[in-house]
Amino acid sequence: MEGRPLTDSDLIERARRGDVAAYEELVRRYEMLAFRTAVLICRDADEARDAAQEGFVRAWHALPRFRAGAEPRPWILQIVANAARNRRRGSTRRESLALRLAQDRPSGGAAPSPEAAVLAGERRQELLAAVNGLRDEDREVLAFRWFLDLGEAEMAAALGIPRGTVKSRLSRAMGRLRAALSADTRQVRIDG
Amino acid sequence: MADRFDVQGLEAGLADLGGHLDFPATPPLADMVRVRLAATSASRRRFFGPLGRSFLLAAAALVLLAGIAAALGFLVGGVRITFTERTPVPLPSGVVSERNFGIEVSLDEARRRAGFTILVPGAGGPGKPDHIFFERIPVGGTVTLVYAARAGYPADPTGIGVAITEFRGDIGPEVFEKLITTGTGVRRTSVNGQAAYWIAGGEHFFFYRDANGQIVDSSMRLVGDALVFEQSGVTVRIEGAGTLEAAVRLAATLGH
Repeated sequence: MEGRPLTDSDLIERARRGDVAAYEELVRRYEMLAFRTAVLICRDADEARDAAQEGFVRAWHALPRFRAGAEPRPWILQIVANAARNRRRGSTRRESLALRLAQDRPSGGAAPSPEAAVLAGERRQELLAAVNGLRDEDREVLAFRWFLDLGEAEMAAALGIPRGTVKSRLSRAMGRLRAALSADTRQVRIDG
Repeated sequence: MADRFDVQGLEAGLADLGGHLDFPATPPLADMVRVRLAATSASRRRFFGPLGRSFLLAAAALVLLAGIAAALGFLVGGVRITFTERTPVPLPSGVVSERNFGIEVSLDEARRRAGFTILVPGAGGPGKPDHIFFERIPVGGTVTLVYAARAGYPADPTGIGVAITEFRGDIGPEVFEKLITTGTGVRRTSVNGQAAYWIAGGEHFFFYRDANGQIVDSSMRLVGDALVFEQSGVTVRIEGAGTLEAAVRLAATLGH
């Protein structure tokens, strides 16, 4: 089997036997996802960095309790998300990081017309403002699903809720997002 | 064509939005975790089970509470050094290597996050720290500068040569306290003309009380021989310098 890329399960098995290098590789694979998960929960980049680091260290110490054959991704997300929630609860910082749009970069494909690009940008901005305005519970479930592309089991782990509750929470959040957007549109019409 | 506010339109809009978000840059977590594990976990993993650790900390806290009631004490900045009449409990060797310094950061970041001006070794000192850690407690945080073993600073059981820990000295009721077991000597000395104390020859606890007087165990650990003093409103603890003279020499190089 020499030369075969190691799977996440291979790495976690090696890590369980005390192989720090294997664990480091596993962390490298998940560091972006874990950090962004923590950013969405903490809404503070420094706190998110600390939470993700703390989560990975906790996960290392919890390896003996990892169920053989289970998926590592939801397990790690759950530990990092718990660390992030603890940090958010303990944080005295009042300011919070709102999600922002990236500067548009050339995609390499056919460039949209300037008018289309402006319109798309405005729509994204409107949608993002509505997401940022939702309460934490709704914002998190939408962000995990659509911004981090998490599956149902991973969302359940990151949110700390039963898997069967994920769909209903997502549905309620979509409803509230739609209501917020509709209200904004009505306001624009009245103001206009 | 789907309305942008119907379910399909919203889902498409959110998926598109996800590809255009500006997340903060991901820090090098794998490197940070490797360093943290190297510094903290080798012997911890061998020695402690969750139950054993909880029991040990609970027992230690009880002993501390009982000892403090009858103890004599004095303050150095934010540190209260407390003596007891007898060794409270046999101390497992695994505790000695439990070094929870907090999160690894750069010096610039430590300066930004700490609620005090950090002191660093200057000319004649050990140079640039190999690792810098920040812990949010107590108020103002704790910064630890860690040096790997080198000439003059032999490795402790976790491989650390010398560790310089700093926190605010004006933290009111949130004072650090030490419980020194029998056999530990405390010698008064001075650093840059200010009172300093060399605690050596035995084992002692390190922990702190929060503003409500509760013992917080997250920093509870045993430390080796240590020089404790206050400089410019910062309480400094130097561990691992080997001798009082070496610790005082190192302390004298500290500056902003």
